[in-house]
Amino acid sequence: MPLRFRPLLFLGLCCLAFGALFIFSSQTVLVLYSRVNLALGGLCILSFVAINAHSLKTFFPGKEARRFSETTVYALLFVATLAALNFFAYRHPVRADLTQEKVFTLSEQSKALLSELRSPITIYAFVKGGQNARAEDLLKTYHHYNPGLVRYELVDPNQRPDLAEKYGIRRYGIFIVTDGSKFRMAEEALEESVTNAMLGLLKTRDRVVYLLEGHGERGAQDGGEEGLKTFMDQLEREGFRVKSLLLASAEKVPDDANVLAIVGPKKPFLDEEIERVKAYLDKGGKLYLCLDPNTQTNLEPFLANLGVEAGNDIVIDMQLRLFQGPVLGLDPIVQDYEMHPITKSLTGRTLFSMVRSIRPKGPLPKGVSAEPIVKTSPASWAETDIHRVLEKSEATMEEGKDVQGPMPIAVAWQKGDARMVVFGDSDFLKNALFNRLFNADLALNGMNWLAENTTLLTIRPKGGKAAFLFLTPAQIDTIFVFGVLIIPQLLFALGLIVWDWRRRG
Amino acid sequence: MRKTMTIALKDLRAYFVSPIGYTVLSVFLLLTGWLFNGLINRYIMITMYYQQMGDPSAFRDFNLNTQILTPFFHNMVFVFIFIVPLFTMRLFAEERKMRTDELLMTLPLEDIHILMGKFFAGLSFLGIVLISTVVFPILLVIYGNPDVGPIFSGYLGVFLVGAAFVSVGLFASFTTENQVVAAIVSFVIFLLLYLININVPEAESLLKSVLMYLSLFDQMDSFAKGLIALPNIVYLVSFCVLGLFLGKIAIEIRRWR
Repeated sequence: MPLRFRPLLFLGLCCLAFGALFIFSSQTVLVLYSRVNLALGGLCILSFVAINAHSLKTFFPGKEARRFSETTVYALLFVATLAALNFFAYRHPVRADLTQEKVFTLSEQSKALLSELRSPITIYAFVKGGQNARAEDLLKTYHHYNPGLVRYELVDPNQRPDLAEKYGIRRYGIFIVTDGSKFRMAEEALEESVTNAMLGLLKTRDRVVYLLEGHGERGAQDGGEEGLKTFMDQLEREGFRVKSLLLASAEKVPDDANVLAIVGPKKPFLDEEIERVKAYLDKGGKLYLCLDPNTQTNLEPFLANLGVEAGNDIVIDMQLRLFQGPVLGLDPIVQDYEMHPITKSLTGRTLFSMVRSIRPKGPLPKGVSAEPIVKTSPASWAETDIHRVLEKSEATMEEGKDVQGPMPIAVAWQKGDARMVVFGDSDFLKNALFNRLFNADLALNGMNWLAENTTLLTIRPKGGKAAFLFLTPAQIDTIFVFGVLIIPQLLFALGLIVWDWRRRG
Repeated sequence: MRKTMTIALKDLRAYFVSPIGYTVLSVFLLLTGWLFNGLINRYIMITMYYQQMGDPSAFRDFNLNTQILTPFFHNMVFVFIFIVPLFTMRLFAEERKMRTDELLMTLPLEDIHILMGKFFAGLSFLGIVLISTVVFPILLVIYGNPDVGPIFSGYLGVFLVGAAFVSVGLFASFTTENQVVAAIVSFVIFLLLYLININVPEAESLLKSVLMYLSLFDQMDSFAKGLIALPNIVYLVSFCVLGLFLGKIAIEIRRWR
């Protein structure tokens, strides 16, 4: 007896196959599609079997039915074995790196660090369009050495603004290593950079910044234009803990301080306070200092002893005004940076407001290095007659009294483990200016340089063997002739000859 | 083994006594050569551009291997998608068309002999195709100084992908007597496996991992860059074995009828 309603069988099979495609989907529409299909498919096949129950018995006589079921079981077992093998290999990715520079092999330091992992970490690469072969290869390599605990993801910051916001991503090419609560940033797609970030995450406790109070400094919680809340929030996001400190009532700068920050004091410091700051620096402390012009804080002589001069002046420089173009003013826009870890990643200008000059004061004490890192334009000068500028809004460059630019307005200072960054301005950190131009980068790089782990690893960058090709036009044509033309030409000819020979028998 | 070899030799010979072998070979070489030449021209243009910009740091990832050889191997796999069905479609479907299949099935041969004989014939032809492309890396070595390690891994990868394609093409050839249908079936399977990763879901999930794992492009990528990894080898070999297994079932089903 022939089978009836055969289309039911085919319709049912198609529904089952398409339904199975999205069985694990998490999207509502697809899940609905999948379930409807599976149900429909099941219904069709059941009806088909029910309608043809009698014919099917004769269609599959005993022997064939047994063979059929045997083969099915056999095939399923076979596929399951293959899947298991693949899963096993996936979990045990043994491999051989054939590149001369060992591009897909991590250094011993990185391998040791990865083998010490106890809890999972995730590495995010924030790259354009979420795709970057170099970044992916690098992260795959990390994943390879500890597949159970290292996860990675390439993220387009525009598609995941939540992540970009969370980690304060301001440009492409940033890597974030995180254990879920803390994170560290790596700025380059290099093993050295990523491994050091991982080291920072695993080996160091939270970095603590003490923000000094009591001399009219800018407030950490102040969300108004003049406050530092934006800066402090960003520091918290980058793994710092910010605490406040009243030095007059403290015995010393606390031992857990990684950085002491003094931002925009207006009243003079007491001698005891200066002693405590000095004692902290002598022990290898790190100081982040921003001094505005037209203030006397008593810190100036202390700085002079260390080899840094905070000028009693105000810098007049070019500034850009709407519809006026560049004019001289008190809000310099700066783009002249010296080579230093703090300024290395700055690719654009920073904006200051009312700046005093800060420069190394020679001869420097023994063992001290002090480098200017930010300079105003050559047209600028350090005006010493501050009152005339502020009260009458007048300024002229007077030889002998004033100093012609470029004027250094920030200095990075180092003596042994002790480090200090001095800026001649605190306005560039205030909420109103912090996110303008590259101010945030300059501010955070300074803090990161101070709080840097001094036991960083150096790993030679690898980028594949440098292999190049320089060809003359004749050589290009030779490649074309030998690569593209000659062999196919001979083969075509041979093919024609064979074809003709066969045809004639 | 001798029986297998007899079949393999007979089928390999069949490629070269008819124009099919020569046509497939020359079309393959023409296509890969054309793409290779495109890579060279692009490389030279970018080099000139960088030289004018005077930016030496741009050269860090810019070399013959990343710019020419890696895409060259990917291109070869891409051309395989179109070419392999052309020479596997005839392996068994031809016997059916010529009505020699009955004869073959009644010879004192086991299924496995027929299957492996046909497979080795396809594989040998694939080997010949690959050997004929060695001219491209040789030209590079003559005029430049590429890293040679990745050339070996690249060829290993291309060969394994090719072997997997041959086994699937062979299976397609066993299922139908129409060569065009056999070619289209294999072509669709290859293309689907090659492009399976373009529709992966954004979020991390089991489905995403499985789809990424199945993607031939991703499996080929490590080989093309100079990395031989066990999971990639296991994947491609299983693919090949699965094709052969299905082929064997197809023969068995024929025998029942």
